[in-house]
Amino acid sequence: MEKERVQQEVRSISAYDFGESTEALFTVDRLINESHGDERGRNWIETELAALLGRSVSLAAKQEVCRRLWRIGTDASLDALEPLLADDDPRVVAAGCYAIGRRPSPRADDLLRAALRKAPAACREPIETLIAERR
Amino acid sequence: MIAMALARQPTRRDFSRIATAPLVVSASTLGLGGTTPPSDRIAVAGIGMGQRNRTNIKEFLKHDDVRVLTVCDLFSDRRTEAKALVDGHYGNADCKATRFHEEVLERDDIDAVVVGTGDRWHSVMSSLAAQAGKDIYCEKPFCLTIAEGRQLVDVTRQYGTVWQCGTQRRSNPGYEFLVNTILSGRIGTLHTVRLSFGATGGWKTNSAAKPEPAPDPERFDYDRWLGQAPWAPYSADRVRLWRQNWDTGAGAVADMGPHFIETVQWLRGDPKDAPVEYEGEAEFRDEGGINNIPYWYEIRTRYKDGLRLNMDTGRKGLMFIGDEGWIFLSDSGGIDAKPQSVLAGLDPPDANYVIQGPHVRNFLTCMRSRSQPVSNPESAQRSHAIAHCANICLRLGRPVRWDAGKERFEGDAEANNMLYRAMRSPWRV
Repeated sequence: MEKERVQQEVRSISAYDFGESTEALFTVDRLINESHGDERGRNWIETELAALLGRSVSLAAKQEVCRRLWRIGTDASLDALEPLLADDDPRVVAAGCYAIGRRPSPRADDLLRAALRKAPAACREPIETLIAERR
Repeated sequence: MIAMALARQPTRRDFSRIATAPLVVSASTLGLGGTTPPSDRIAVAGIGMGQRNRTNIKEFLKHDDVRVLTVCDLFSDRRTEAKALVDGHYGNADCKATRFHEEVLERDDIDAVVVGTGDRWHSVMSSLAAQAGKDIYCEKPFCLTIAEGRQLVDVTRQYGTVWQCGTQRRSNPGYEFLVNTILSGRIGTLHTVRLSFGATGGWKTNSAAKPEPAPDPERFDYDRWLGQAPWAPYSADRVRLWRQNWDTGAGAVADMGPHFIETVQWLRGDPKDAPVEYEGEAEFRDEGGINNIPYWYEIRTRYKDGLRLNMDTGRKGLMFIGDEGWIFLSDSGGIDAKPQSVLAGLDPPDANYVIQGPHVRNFLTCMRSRSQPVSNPESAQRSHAIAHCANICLRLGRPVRWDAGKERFEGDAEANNMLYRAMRSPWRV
């Protein structure tokens, strides 16, 4: 798997928004499937996905990144998810929770608890629910 | 009302037994002349009143010991249509219609709800209803993930809920005939089952689902319609194509799979059993649109004892292949076999999938006896899990191995991540 290909294909998600073509999303899904068993390739994909969360992208693009981190995310992308959990838009917080899901990770547990302490009232529920469901 | 009787609370029927009967009480009120007295009727509400659930409610209306009291839907035209259906049956205007399920679940006089919402709502609504003390007849697929299904099994156990999955083929005499014929050894030793879920048809439909202004919630409550699904702006096509997207539907395999897989599990006699190996191929509408589920697929699975269970998009029906012959049950009801001697001397009953009366009756009987229906939560969960394992295999594009005892994939973190997904608040199981 070529690093340049990973960068190009994953970064194409940044232009995605609701109602636009989902072709880029399928392309990344194929990339993820192809990278099974290729630890280096997976790391590149996760790094590129996480980097998109730090850019000015649409809510739809953030959700799609989080859907893919839900599948292949590790502790390596938790730092990139932290700002999502601290967002004041519950839809963004929900996307961050979706990405973390139930994958076992003490660091993710710590991150969620810390986020809950700081979250505005309107954004607490998805975090509270996820903490409960990860037990 | 029946739930109150089961909890040993006094009912109107109890009262009528001990009180001096007033002269004005009618024969039907007392249950004379073969009628069921009102106090002994099961009070039912329908939630999610699209075409499928109107069919369900029609089936419930056929039972003399049922009274449908209310209907609930997020579309105003469906509410109107469902109320007209119920009122037309009873010849009055008594059926309540609401868009808020809370107004249904808070009613003490409702014993059971019939849930026919979109897939994303099945387990959530079942959980809310169970917590409100209702029994539940729920359409399939009842969960979008394996973890969601397991959570509902736990909830129904905790609340002592009688919950029946709407996999009506489980009570169909034709399916019982099929199972008994195979068990009697007429096709020899069974080695392969082929479940075909029908042509790709509607599963191929696609659209860009361009955002549009959402309708007035009184006409269609889009935010509630989304339920647990991640937020997305309204689009009429998103609503129309909810089955074709993982956010709102469970896909083609989990749509038909639970019906047919349940028959295989029934035949094997161990509802907790499941194939351990899954592999397959699929095609997706990857040209760019809201449709992101496989519309064509071939799935090959294998149980620990070697039985092969395959799923595909062939003519809708179940094919059981043994070392001495095969038997095929078409979803429209016909039964065929080779050699013809497999069916010699037998008189196969009609097995059409529309036969639903026995399944509804089984649910109502179990409500009264507080026993487990045939398509109870645990057995439904196991059948659904097999369909979801197949879906995960297709989405990953590679084989997976399943441990049915642990309900986990073996050594496969990526597949295990897909067992659960966070729901949009405030909805949860």
